[in-house]
Amino acid sequence: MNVRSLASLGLASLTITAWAKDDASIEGVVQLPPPTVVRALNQRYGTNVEAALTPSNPPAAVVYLEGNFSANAKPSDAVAQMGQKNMLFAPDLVAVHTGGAVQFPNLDDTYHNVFSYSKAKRFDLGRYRKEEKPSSVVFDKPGVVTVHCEIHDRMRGTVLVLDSPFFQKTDSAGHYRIDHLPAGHFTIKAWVNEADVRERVVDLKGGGRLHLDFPAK
Amino acid sequence: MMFIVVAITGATVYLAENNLRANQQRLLNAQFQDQLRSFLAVQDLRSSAVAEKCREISRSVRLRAALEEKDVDDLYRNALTELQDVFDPSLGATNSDDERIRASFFRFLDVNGAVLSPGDQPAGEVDPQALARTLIPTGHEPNDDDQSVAFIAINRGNDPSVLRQIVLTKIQGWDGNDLGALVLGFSMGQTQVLGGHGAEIKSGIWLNHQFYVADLSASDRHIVAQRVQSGFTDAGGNFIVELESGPHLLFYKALRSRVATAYDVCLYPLAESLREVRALRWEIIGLGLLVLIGGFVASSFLAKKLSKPVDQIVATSAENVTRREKAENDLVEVNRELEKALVELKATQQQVIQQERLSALGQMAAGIAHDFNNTLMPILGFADVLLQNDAMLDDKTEARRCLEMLRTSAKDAASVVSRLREFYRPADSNEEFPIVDLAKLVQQAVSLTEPKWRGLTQARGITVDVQTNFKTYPIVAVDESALREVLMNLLFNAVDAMPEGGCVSIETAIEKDRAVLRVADTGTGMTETVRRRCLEPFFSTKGEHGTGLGLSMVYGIIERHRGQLEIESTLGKGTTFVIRLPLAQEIEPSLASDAMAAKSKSALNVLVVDDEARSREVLMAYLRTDNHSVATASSGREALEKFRRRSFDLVVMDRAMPEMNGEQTARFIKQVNQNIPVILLTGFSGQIDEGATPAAVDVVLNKPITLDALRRTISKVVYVA
Repeated sequence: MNVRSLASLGLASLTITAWAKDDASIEGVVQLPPPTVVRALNQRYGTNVEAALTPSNPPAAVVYLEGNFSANAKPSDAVAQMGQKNMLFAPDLVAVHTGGAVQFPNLDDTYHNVFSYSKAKRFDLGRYRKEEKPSSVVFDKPGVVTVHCEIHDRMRGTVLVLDSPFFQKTDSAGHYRIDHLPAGHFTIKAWVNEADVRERVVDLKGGGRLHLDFPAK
Repeated sequence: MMFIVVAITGATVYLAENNLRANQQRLLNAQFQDQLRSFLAVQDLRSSAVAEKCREISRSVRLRAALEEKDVDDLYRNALTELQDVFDPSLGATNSDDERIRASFFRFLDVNGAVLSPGDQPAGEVDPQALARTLIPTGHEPNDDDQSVAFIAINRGNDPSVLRQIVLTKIQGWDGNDLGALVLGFSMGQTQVLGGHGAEIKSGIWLNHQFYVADLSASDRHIVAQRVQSGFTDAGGNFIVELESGPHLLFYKALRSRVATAYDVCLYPLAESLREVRALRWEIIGLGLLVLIGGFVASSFLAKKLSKPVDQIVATSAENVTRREKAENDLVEVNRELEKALVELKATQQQVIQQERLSALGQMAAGIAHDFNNTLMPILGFADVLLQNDAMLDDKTEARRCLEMLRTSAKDAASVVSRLREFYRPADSNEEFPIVDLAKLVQQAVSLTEPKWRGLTQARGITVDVQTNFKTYPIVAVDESALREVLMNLLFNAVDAMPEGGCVSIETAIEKDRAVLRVADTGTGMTETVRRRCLEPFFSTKGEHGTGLGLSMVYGIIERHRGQLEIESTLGKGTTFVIRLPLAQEIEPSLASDAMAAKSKSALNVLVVDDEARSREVLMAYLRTDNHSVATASSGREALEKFRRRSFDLVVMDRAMPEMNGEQTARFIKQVNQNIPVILLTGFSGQIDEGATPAAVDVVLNKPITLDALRRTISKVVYVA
């Protein structure tokens, strides 16, 4: 771990302590859809036939506190990672605070070419291999960014760019826990996919612990 | 003469030329078909190349991503990259002889089929309205094909000669849902030069009543359009069109297209081949003239040679006259021989008929044997049962039942033998039958055949069930034993038809004025062929076990009774025999009370003459039953002695006796007393039939004789006469 990451960790802890006085927490379960079945789409290039059979990522969702907290909080310098492994984005769902950065390392032995045409962030990293470390991408607008690989048409990742620093990705069973939340009246959303975003309105009290489940619609 | 030679030569030349021309035409056709085939193969290849190219492009991740994000700029920009080796906007509204696959425009459609405007991006020129018109039927139509083809005309002034093949390819997202479509407008490969004669196939498209083809003058195009207007009816075909540039063979083939029917049209110039045909014709005519001149020279030689034999013919004509006379004589002789042969032939024919009759008699005998065995079986069966079962023998009712069975069977056996006679004497149309209860007959037949189907059940472990169902009790006038035989035959057949066991049901009913008898089995049934033939004599499905006579016998008996026989059979389901017999009008009291009448009359003195002791015993027993007094004689001589000593009322005598036979004895008896009735018994049925009773005999009775028959005969000759 280099100095830069240490510094960013320090900054992150500072951010958290800024809200520490309210220190509410919320936890629960998001009911997740079953794991997606791997569809062997027509491969544009016949180089990765076996890859079509690898399992896809386990399902997950992102739970976050809605609201614009940018005025109160500086974006984290922590760099999230969305690697490419076994012809898949791993993980294929990453959430970042607006202004946050994501790195896309290639962990496979073949070329990948990560790009997005999404409105929230348009970028194209070009083709690169394992050794070539791509520069990280900063996501400066909130929104859903769909990430593709030009070479492998089955690869698909999502970067969820949120205005809120209060978010948590669930585990594959749907469990989440967000600590150090401010008190107040909020909308809490669970983002499963673009077509499935569930929301609940909560009143958070200082030091309170809340259990909140998001059953499937 | 000369005229004939000229005509023949002319005809030969004509035929030769025709033949050659037809050959040439065939050759040409074959050649054309070959060229066309390779041309179409090239076109097919091109089509599949285009299709594959479009599919490949539509799978581009970038295009799909852009379409998903509805990012039209990125969409068209990326498409330019993807299409760089195909797309050539400079083609514009021109035709290209370029062999490569070139697209002159491309567009993207959104998921609803609406065209996404390329904006400032270069995407080639196309009339948006024309494109929209072409695509209308495609947009919302649910279509499983990922690709479809249409054609669009690109207007260039007033000359609509430029045509584009539009290939629409669906674009699907990562989850398999439709994102939209890619439309590519390809220039059509127009002309192909394909070896041979330097003839060039022109290819074009017929679409919306317009003919799009390169390098064809406006007037030629017009001619083709006019021909085509009425000519295209099928999926493909060919005909000849006369264009300004010469005759062409036009070939057309319907194209798979989403819009109005389009045809691939090929034009093949015939000028070259016609020229060849013409040259060929002159060659043949020249050759013909040569043959003609040669012919004249040869014929003049022949004429001189032929004039000599004509003189000789005149000289020998006198000789011919004598020859003809001889020939006429020969003819008369031959005719006579032929007539003789005809007579011989007729005689032979008679012989053949006679032999046929004899062999039929033999066959009949076989049939009799068959039936006789059938009737013997219950006799032997019940006799066996009685002899081996003391308890049953002691049980009077049971024993009596068995004995009655024995008697019935024995009677039937007798009637079987009696039918030998019927074989050469057709059934008497006025034959009168006793009146019988059909249901009773059925019951008897079932009992008589019981040993067979019961035995089968035990021997082979299969179950054969025989059921009777008497809806009504029809009374019919029939030959009892014959009808019993019919029933037994049908029952045996039914049992044989059920190798796995099953059920035979026998039903009696009255329908209109007929008695109906149904014998149905659940057996194997018959095929239509078997059903049609089963009544023929010697037709059997039982192989060695069948004589093929059972059913033909049945048919004969039914016919004799003026009845009908119907057969219904379903293979695998079973067979039903339906017998319809005329109902008896009423029971004649005289017939019914005959036996009673005979019994009530006074006792007679009867002389029984038979050389066989057992026969004498039976006759004696019969006569004593009716209280007649009986004297016996074992020969004709003894009979005469007894007859002279005392008077008798009646003589019953066997026909076949040693020394003096029955007829002779009868004659002597009649000499003594004219009024003594004589009943002659005969075991050789058929040797004397009732129609030819010997003069000295009153009645001939066929052996074996039943008590009833004897009573009836006695009452006839003694009391009635």
